[in-house]
Amino acid sequence: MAQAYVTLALASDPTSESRTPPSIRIPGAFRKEHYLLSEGQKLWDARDLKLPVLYMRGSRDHWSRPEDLDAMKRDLGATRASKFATIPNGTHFLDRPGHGRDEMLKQIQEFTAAINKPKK
Amino acid sequence: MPRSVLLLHVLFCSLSAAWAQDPVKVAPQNYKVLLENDRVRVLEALLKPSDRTPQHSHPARVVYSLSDHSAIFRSPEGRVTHSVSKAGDTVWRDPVIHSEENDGKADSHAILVEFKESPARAEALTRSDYFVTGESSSRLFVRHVTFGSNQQLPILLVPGGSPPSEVLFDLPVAGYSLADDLARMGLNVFLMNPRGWGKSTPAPNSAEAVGDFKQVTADIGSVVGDILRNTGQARLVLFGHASGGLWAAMYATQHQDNVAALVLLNSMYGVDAPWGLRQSFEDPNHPGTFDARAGPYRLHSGGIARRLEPIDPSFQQGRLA
Repeated sequence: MAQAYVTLALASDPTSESRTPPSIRIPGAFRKEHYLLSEGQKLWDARDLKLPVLYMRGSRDHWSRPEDLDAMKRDLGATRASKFATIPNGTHFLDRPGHGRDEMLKQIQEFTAAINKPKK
Repeated sequence: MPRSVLLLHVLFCSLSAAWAQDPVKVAPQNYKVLLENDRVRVLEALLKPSDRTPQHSHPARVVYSLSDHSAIFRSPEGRVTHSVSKAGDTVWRDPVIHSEENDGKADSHAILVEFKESPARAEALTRSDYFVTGESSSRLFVRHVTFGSNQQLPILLVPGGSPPSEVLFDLPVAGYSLADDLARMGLNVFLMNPRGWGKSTPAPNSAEAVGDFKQVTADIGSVVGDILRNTGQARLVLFGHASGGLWAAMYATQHQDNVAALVLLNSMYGVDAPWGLRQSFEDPNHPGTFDARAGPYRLHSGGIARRLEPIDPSFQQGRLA
């Protein structure tokens, strides 16, 4: 699985072999945007949303913070069919069987099933 | 009945194509549905001289020409084919995505019998890759992943400051592809790469960081518009991983009519709270300020195999060199 990831990742960037060791280039502006978010700058405001949100984070994610979930929950309020979940044992990519993947899929299934229901 | 035996035979031999761009939806003036059931759809196609349809897809089909005519077909990759038909010609055609232009002097008139997926085929996962034209004539990579034939609700997956979406969301290893799992839930799954990610047009050269929210939300907009046009749906679900969640949410606040719901995974929100990575991004000489020397790109190298570790070591290395 790790080999598939490395092979595909390197193949996805035609410039990867021009560097030593081979690497892929990922646009970097997200770093500053998240530095600002971490200091409390709201680049977007959940209070502007009228649509439902499913917010999930892994309990062991190194990127998002528990406070992100709490703040969004506060801003969205309880009235808009939004859902919030902390996935036990989940890490950043939530892609490993047994590390929160099944719980994440279950959350998405329930959430999208509710969206998909035709409105009467 | 011999005819239905023939149809069944053809049905089981047919390949399927995702009904990504329905000709009846994109060119209603040229295609009319004469009959539709769970096995076939019969279309009448009529193109007047110099009529040209948008790109659309057909599953496997039989084409019966009602007129002598001549046509130019263009594939999404730019391949051009010229074809001349006579009234009464009956041909088998494999699944295709193309546009059609009547370059002759007479009407191009034909009956198309399109075959729906066979029961065996309906259990298969299908993937198709294509490009959507975005801002400044950029080409944005999109992958469409479907399972079976009853998907309705489209969901678009947006990557973050990570490898491109086909690596992040659709690793070809059993149990590791989110796109695969979502398609099996019955969702109509699309993944995209904004400019600068994977096979999409590179981000414009700059000494400063590229791929900011303005650019990425514009790219999301281009792809959302294309998906809604092709599927005939009014809204889709936007899914964002980490930074992808920031951009999906920013797009959603500005275009709520297009978005049915938002799914955010491990995304940050604007709240002043401790962040384990703050120091790595900070200018050591100016605490409290982002280090602008970070460069335009994050280079993601040897450590990528270590993605399985609870903490991605390339983040711990600080400057993400």
